[in-house]
Amino acid sequence: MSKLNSLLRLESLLEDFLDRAADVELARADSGKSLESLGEIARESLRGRYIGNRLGDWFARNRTNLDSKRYDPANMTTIGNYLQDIKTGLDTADPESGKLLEEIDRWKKSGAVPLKKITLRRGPETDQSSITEEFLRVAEMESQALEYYKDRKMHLLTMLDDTLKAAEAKTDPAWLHLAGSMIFFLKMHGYKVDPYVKKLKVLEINRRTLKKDD
Amino acid sequence: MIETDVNYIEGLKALKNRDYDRALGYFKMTEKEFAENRDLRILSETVKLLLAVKNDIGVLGVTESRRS
Repeated sequence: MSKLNSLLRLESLLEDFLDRAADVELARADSGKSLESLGEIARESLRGRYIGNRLGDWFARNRTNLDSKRYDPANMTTIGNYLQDIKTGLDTADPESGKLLEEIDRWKKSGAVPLKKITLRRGPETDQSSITEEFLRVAEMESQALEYYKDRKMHLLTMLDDTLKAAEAKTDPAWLHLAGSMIFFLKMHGYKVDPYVKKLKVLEINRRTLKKDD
Repeated sequence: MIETDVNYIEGLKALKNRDYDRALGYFKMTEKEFAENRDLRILSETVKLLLAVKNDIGVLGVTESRRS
């Protein structure tokens, strides 16, 4: 074979390789984009925003990727984690959310299973009095806040709104605890509390993130 | 993530169009941020090799056509 023929053959091989590699990489880029967009939906959901339409669109756009098994196991786990976050924020009583929950379950059955979170359990308290003192401090502060609300004859829902705003603006965890307590009480009395639970969850995550950054 | 880098994607699209000079230009821009990425280096080096092969083919082709 002449040198020219060898080079022509090499040229053809390299072109073929690059063409296939570009196909694989473009498909990977497409999966990366779709994961990024699902992550954004999950974050919006945790912030308490309505994500029904966007999630529905995402499912519609990515169903073929699932059926053709385009996502690798790591991607499927990431999708599982995002869908799990979204699932906790969906209102089970709402029919539209019901359809989305069914679709989430379908993805889960197809392998989009969230990674189990490892929880480190704290050992026994070395200083038993410190947690008790902290609880009493929080209860005292909550009692003062409730006195303030009582004086202004506020409804419990208005109190909760105000408490959540305070929890957002202040670093003292007492506000989160007070909001949680109000939400629990409202739930016990048949109030719909899902949006408040979502909001509380976001604030708790933000607080943990800030604490970690310190 | 390199998969979401705009220049990388444009480089891949240029590869699909067999526009190798253009692809290499985009990969060079991507290298500024993802110099350590193995996939990018493989693609980039393969494109360079292909361009060198094409150049040699051009030179040899001209020589052989002159001979014949």
